[in-house]
Amino acid sequence: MVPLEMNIDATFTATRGTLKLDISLQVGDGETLALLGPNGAGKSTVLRMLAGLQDIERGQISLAGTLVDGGPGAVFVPPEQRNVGVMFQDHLLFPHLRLLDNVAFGLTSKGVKKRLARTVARYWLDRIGMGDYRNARPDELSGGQAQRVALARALANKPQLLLLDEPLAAADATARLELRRTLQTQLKSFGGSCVLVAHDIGDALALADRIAVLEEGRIVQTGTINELGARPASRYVADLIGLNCFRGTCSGNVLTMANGAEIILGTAHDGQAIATVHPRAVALFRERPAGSPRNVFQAPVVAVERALDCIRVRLGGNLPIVAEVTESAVGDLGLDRGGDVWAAVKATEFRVAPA
Amino acid sequence: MPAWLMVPAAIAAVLFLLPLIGLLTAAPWGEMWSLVSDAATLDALALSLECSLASAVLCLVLGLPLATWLAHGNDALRTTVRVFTTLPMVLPPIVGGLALLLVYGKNHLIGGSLHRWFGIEVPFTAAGVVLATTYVAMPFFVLTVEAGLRGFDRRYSEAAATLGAGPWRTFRTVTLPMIAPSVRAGLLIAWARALGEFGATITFAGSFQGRTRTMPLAIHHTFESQPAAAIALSLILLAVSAAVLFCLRRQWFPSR
Repeated sequence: MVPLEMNIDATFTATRGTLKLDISLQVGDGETLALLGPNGAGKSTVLRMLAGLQDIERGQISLAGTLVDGGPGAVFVPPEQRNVGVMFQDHLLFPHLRLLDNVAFGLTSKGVKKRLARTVARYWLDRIGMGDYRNARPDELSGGQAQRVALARALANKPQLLLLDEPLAAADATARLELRRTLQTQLKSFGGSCVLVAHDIGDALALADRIAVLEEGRIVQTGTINELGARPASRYVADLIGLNCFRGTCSGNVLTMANGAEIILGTAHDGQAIATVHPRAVALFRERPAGSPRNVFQAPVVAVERALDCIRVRLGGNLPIVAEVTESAVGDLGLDRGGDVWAAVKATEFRVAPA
Repeated sequence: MPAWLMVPAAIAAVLFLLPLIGLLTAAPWGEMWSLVSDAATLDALALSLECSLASAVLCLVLGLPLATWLAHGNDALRTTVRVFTTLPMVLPPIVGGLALLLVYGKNHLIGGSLHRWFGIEVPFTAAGVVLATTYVAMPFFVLTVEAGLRGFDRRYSEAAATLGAGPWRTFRTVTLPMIAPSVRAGLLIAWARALGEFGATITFAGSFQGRTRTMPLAIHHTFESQPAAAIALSLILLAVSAAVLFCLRRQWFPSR
């Protein structure tokens, strides 16, 4: 899956506080890689190294075939000469400049005449739907709007490489979807390589081609979601991708999958969407359960998998789903003998995002 | 704000108001105009304004780089330099003037060479006044600006760097505009300190009318022979200072 042309080739060690990083990372030309990991795993620090904002201890970083950091005493290309666009977690738009000049900043830094830089900046603000705000100051914007402008500011500079540090963290729930859509569109037309730090597997799936999982300063696994799911390298990875995931078309509260199966959701959406639900939220019964769950269906038990500290029951049928149950439930329900069971999932347990 | 705090707050306000009333009631209003239009008064006033302004400019040109360097670390060298820099704030100004004399005086360290090679004499000239007031005023500027720089979120400079701005452009177009309130406050404090400077100036530059006799020195000089006139001069200095502060109230007082 990794293209031959490497845009980022980085192997380095570094220390940040008590955390020791030991990283090996390759990103192909035009590829988007999501860095996922628990808090404090060193995700943002990796971006800082790539951007040249922090020194590495040993190793080397090459961007677009050029060595930009060879470790102490060797080559070090400072950030302003790396041509890397960074979108920071809390946008860091310059508070004393209006949006137009924020977006034009990179170009004027490169010696582009102010008038031309502003014309380009206006084009970028229009592209992200913020053209009407060009004379506004950053403190007049919402978190989601500010992030969009920060993205435009990074892109207007025509970077070879784009680094996004939790691009969706500052936006509230509603702005999040819109921001994600903007990111999807802009990343598609950007064409260069991109590394983004994500918090949420849904964001990573929506935006990235591959996922690298970072834990305690090391990349424990890299691959597509299917590759990670086939053989999770750690408990964190298993949890991360162990979610039930349904792709389909939404109309109101109903998600219809390609095979015609339907899921009732807690919230209304429209268009292509991905609904995820944790296996713990799936309850199993031998008899059809009474009560409120909106999604109740009958399916055959395909497998009972005993993991470290839980049991996962895989159901078949046209709504394949995994349920997490206890050892006593396995006995009570006689799951080991297989056969059909009833599964129930509350509509509100599904998380939905546009696909 | 708790209501009882109004009591000490009012006492503080009265503390500043009473001396003002004292000056206003004792002022010889009848001779005011002749005193104001007196050549010696105008000389002193002009010299005061020129020297304090020159001092403020020197603070900006020299103090800003110093403050920037000081704000960039916590090592022993910086700590030592900071102690030196703040020393004039605690020293009696007369000690400062004396020390300056021992360096720039005709028969001393640098002053000797300056005199011998270039024929330049700093003490007892207007340049001496500027040097003495700058020596006393710059610490206020440096400390204020350093505090501003330390409060500055450096991630903004990092953002500028990733956008292709080198260190100088980042400093000029991001750091400086963002700490502008501190720089303005520092300039105002330094200028005010320079305008009122007395001890170091009289020791290092003497009190020569038209050359080194600034307003504070003129007030001191007049006070011995004509106390009433000294009060009038004080009021003039007060009025000029108040006018300047009033004009700058919006842009120069840190309001945020």
